[in-house]
Amino acid sequence: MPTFEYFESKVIDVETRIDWAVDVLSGLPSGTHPEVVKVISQLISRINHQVSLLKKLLQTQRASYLPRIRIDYQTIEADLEKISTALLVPLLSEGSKEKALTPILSRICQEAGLQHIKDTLVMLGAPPATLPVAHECPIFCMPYEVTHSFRDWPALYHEAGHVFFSVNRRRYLDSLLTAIRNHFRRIVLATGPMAEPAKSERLRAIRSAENYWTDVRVEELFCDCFAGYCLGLSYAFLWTDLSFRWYSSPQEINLSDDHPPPSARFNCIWYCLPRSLKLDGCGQIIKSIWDAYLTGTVPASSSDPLQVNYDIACSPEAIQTLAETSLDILRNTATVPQYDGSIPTPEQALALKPFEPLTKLLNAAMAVLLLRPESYRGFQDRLLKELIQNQS
Amino acid sequence: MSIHSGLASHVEEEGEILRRLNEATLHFQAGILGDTELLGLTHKQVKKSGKVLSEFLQNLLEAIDKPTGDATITFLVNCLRDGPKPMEDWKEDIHRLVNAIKTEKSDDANLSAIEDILALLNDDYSEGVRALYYR
Repeated sequence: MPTFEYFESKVIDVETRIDWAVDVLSGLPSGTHPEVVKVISQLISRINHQVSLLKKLLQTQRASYLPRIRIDYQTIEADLEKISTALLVPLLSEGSKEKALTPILSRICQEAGLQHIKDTLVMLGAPPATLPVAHECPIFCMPYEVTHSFRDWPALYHEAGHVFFSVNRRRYLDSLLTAIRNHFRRIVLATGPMAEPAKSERLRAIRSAENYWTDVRVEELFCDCFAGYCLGLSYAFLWTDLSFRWYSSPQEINLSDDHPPPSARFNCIWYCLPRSLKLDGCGQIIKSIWDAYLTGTVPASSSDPLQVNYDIACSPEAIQTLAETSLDILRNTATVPQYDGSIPTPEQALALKPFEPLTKLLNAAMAVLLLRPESYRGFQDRLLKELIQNQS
Repeated sequence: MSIHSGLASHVEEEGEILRRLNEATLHFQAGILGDTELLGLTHKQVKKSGKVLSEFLQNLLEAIDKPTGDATITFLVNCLRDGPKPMEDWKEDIHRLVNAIKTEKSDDANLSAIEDILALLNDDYSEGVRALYYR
């Protein structure tokens, strides 16, 4: 454990960095994303309060306080990291491109039923992600090419799902985790008479599968349901593409990844789609692409007893349990609309205007790419240009 | 989709719980050591800290026998179950601490159960912070 002298020095370092953050905030033009600025100010005041207590603790020189001091110091550092990396970077790097995209992101939030959102902040140059740190102003990360390509736009609906989830995270987690635990409890009860050590091994495999579903993984799967529910086929299409790009073993469980395996995610998204979309021409194409992709990949392996077994952790019943619970949450939230419209034909798509719902535009983009690829480039260029100009 | 979003929420929530428990442990400890005045703490704060700790520990005890939807408690139960110390010993230590808090007969030494739990929580929190900001 570091000494009192070490922590005394670090308090000086922390105070210097708080002063810097305060200076940066005071240099921002007035009216700059007030929600984000408010969150930073609240974090600064929390750090100041903790530093003041830390100084008193250090004066006592009591060794039994060192574990408390250490945790205090670590949480202070985490707050400072959040201020400098997660909050100030997007705030200070906001340029004209980011500002032009901000109203589109606000539109996505509105159309996805996130009515509490008053503002959004965009950070370009990163894979799609969101930081729901400021309650009414989520920060959306997007790659630079979103101004020229629709490819990653559907992912923003998954990110909007995180924003939705963050509003009632504990309640939604309670529903999802309870549902999945009950599912595995039923599996244990259904385990028939078995001789040892096979029985112990079976129970261990079920427990590993149950423990696999952490809060973060359950939330990720919920956000897939959210995106599939709000956006429909366009999100399922993104998933086939992402799986092609990144995964050769879509059923492999990677414990260092907080996302469930792609097969489980695709199955969940597909489960959440209305029947009409699954039977749509584009739906049939996506499903056949997915099935063809699966035949060329490495199937789930359950030979390693220390591994989490995909067939137990991500069985159709387990995924259905999580998907149904997620859909219940969404159906009980009147503000979140389901995409159950038809997919525009290429002819209809080519005539669409930028003020149409974004969900319709993204499904139209998918239809043109799948059914009339020769028209895609012109369609995409025109629509994205009009979309961004229309907002700015 | 980047790892940020779900993990950020997890780290945020876990950080809040860690802060609350660390603060409660500190206030409780200060009460035992007679440092409340020096640290500017009121009797009410010390009393509240005992309540925060015993409520959390009771929830943990209940979750050892009956699964819960609380992610942090579930994480801790899994850690306790997978660790070298037998679960029965954990239950006994936690029970003893809860009773000591209730009867206000705790001394600095028997805080070791909450110290160990805080260390587990802090390890996971630090790992999350590292994954968020240092990858």
